[in-house]
Amino acid sequence: MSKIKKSILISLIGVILVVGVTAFGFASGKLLPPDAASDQILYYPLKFESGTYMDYMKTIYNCLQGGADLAQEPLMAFNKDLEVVPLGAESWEVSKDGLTWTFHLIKELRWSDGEPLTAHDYVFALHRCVEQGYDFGWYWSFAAGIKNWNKVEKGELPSEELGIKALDDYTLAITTDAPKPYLLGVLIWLYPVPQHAVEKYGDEYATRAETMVCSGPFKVTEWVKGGYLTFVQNPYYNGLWKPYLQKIILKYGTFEPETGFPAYLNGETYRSDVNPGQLAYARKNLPDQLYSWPMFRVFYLSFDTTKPPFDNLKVRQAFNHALNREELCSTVLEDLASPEYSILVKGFPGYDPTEPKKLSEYDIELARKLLAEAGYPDGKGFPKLELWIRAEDQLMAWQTPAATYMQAHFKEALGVDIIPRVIEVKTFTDALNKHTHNFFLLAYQFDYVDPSNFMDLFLTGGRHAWSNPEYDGLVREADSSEDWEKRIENYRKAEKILVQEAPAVFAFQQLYSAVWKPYLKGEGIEPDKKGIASWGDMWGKYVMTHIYIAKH
Amino acid sequence: MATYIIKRIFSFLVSLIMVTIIIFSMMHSIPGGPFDEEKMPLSPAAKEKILKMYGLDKPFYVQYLKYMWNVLHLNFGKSYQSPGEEMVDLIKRTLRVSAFLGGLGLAWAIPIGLLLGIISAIKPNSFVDYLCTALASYTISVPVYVSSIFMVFIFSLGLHWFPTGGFGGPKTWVMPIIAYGLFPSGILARYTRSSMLEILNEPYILTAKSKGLPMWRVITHHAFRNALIPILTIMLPMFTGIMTGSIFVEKIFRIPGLGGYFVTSIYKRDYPLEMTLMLFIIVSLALTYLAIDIFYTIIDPRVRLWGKGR
Amino acid sequence: MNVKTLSIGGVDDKLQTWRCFHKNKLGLIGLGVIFMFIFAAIFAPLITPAGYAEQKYLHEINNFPSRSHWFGVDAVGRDYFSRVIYGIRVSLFVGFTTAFIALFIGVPLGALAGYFKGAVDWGVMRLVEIFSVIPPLLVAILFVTLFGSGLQNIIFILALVSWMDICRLIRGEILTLKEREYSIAAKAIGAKPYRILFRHLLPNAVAPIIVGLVLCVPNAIMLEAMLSFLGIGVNPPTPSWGQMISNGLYYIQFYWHLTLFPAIFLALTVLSLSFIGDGLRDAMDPKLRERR
Repeated sequence: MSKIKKSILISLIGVILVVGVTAFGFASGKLLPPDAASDQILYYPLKFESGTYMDYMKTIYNCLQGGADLAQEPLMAFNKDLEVVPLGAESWEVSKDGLTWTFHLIKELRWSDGEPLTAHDYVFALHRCVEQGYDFGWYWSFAAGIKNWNKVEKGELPSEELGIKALDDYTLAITTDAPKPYLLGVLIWLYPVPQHAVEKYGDEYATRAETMVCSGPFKVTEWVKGGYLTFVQNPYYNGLWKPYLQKIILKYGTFEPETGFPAYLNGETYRSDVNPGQLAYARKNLPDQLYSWPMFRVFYLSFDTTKPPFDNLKVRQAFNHALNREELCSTVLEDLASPEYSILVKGFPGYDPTEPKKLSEYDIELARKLLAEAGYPDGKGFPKLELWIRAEDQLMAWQTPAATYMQAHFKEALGVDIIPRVIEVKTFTDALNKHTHNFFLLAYQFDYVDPSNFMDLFLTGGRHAWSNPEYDGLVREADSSEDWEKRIENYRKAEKILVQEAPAVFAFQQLYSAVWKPYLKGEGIEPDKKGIASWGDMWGKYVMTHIYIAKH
Repeated sequence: MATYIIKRIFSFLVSLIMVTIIIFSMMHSIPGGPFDEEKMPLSPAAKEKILKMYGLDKPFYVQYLKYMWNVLHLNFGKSYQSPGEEMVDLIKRTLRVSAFLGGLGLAWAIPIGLLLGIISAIKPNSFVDYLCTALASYTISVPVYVSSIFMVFIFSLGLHWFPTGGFGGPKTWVMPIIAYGLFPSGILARYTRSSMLEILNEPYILTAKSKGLPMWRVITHHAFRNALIPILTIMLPMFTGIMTGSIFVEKIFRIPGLGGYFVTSIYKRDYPLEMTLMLFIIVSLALTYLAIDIFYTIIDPRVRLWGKGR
Repeated sequence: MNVKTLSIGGVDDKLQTWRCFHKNKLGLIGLGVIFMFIFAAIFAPLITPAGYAEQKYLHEINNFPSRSHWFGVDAVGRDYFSRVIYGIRVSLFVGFTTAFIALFIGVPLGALAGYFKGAVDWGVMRLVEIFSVIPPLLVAILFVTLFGSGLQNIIFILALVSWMDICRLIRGEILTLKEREYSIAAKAIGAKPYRILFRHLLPNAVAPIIVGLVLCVPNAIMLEAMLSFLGIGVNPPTPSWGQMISNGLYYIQFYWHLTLFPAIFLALTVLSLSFIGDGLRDAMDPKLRERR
């Protein structure tokens, strides 16, 4: 070779080496911003009773949620503007009949033990759910409407007939039984499960740090039960959301603000929820660390419309008009809630700010008249009611004052006696689902961003004892049409029925408050398109991979 | 002696079986199970599968007998709340923490409680008596969770001496140890005081004093020994209590101990763990009572557990 | 010889008991405090500005103590002083009812066990053992999950975990008294067992019964406070100090008044009752009395 050619070759090799090393060096993490600290370690809260498996597809309610968010990556995810971001697929097509979605998966994705992440892992996940019994099973049969779910679950069809198939290693086909134009949002809860790990260790692979296999940007290196978990960057992560943080330490028992807020104040964690009692302290002493944002969670009173006294429409409407939502939110709930008159909350797509409010107007005279017409003038003869509240720690700060307020308020307005009772979770849920009690205070938080998520709640056969064929028809029609305008039109019609028939009295939307350290920075916690800075756990994955620790 | 031991074991077994049956029945009568349907009900097919997996589809007495049979083979099953480890491992790791902190708590509570009680008994209705009584009284009239939270605010957030919780280095031990010992020290002080007061009024104490014995000798050689029986009856069961931990202390100081599991296993319908914990307590208490009775014979030669005599 | 005059319980005896009790300053203070509380509880409607459930002050939520609200306002707009004062009724009611029910269970069982010994004793002691072994919190949570919370259920649960101490006390006392001369004499002249039990033995066992009763009350009140922290206790809006304390703990960093006042009242009540109990026990104990 001539001398010039040699030097060109050498410099070329040199450039390739430099680029290669740099690229490899940052393959698992992102380039840090200039004001970043040298130690990127985040101390983050975790629930006291943090559960069993770090695997969302094994159990949703008992899952180690904080950890699973870091260790597992779903097919789709939300960013902070609640836009669906495809994390697992690079492209997809929908069949003409709208029933089959074919996803072309990103080929470079790997598990934390080096194994490639394939379509088979997604198929295995849902097969395992339907075969074993999955507590989020209703989501796949009802919200997603995966084809043949119910039949396969009952054993009438083999698992191969389930509406999820791997056409090849990197092509995933999902078939629903009715067109679901919003399916992408629903798929944020579809996680792949490492089939090779389950075959080796069983489902318990997800209970120990040594056997855990992660697909997400982080992997777990230490798991001291009751103490803490340590996550580090997953060296095999080739996905879209590479993190700045190098290490995350989750501390048990610091999620509940009663114990978590003191830990935060002492610098032991870098973020904490704030309960209404601590809010006053935070407003006074840490105003620049305090953030509040509306939560897509609606609180409502639920009636059993199949038995007296709530089988009488006028009774239900009386309650609807007797509740002074404005006063409830501004006084007892200290503006940590905003009034709601229907099931879709402010900020959520499909929200209607005018009609429901008109239909549920606060009007004591009307309420009294309705109750009298129903046969209970001034509440005489009205049976004593027990208002059941579910003992969920996070929600008690809203539920208890609201229930106490309603007790006094309905007594004054309608003359009815209500006793609020706190019922532990499973007893409550059992009674709700079996329709053995007639009066509950409930909340529902969104699972994906589409009006169908909330509207489907009141379809016949759900957890509420109410059935209205017209409502059902409108909602199902809206669920399956492609045209957004048409969908909204149908949803609005359905909402009108919902508010007028009043199987529930929608009361308020929760305002969430949290504090985090001022040296946490990044796109993850900067204000979204609406100008609100938030750190919701529904887009927690986005936040965790888009924040870093600044020098402090 | 043999009849005594056989009688003891028989009584213990009867109590054990009764308690396990009661707890087992109560646990299974509560609606719900180790599955969650918070947002939407589980489909019947899914529920059936889950129940089958846990063996909960069989009739009640079959489940009970199966559980007891397994226990005889020292197989306690797996906790639903921690399926990745054997029950024995779970108990070992949590017991280590609870027993450690609780034990250290008793280590300061017992001497202090006894001392306070003795001192106030020697000079009843004096200022010292009132002071000791006041200290003891605080511990029994203020719930332990209030004291714990105050400690967090004063020592942790205020003075920054200790972290707010967790279980790690020695700094995280101090406040839980104080919290664990508060109530035992108070109770012990009260019982010691009343027990000693009774003894100190006995004629033989007067005799000893008139012989010229110094007060401290009177106490240690005569009074305390005889006051020991009622004190021990109160004190020894505390060890079992301490091993089971306290849900309040554990929650506030975020300690991964055994106490929390008592409460959560009911709420999570963790039948295996709940039953195992109950068995643990029964056995522990049975041994404690046996120890107390043996102490009785050592301390008071008039007491005979078996053979002739009262 | 009249059997009665040999037994404890005559007028002279009661006076002697009072004199001994009198010497115990703490017991006297305790008695005073309890009387004051009972007085306040009876006349609660007269001394409080509002009812315990009236959410009249919705625009002064969580206000600190002031002239119009001596103890401030709570989280749903109720006057806190009213809540704490009405809470005396609840706490004393819970405590004393529990104690009486425990008495009704414990005294007969203890007496039967002490008098008849043998198999009856064995059976009762097994019952005592079974109930003593199960942790009170566990029983409470299981019970509430099964039957719901609420004043009656809570009292029942508290009684279920409190009767054992009284039972043991009575059993011990009866065992001792049985060997006394007058009961042997009564038996000798052919009195039936139940007559001996009720006319002779139990009246002499009054001292430990009273002491056991008075000491059971503060225990019950404290246990209710513990249950409230776990979220099981009386239903709103019934004002229970335990519930007020545990709800107030959430706000303690800022709204300290929500925890402080009920905690002070709880402590005072428990202490006063304990001192009264201790004083009574010291005063009624014959061994201690001989010295004075």
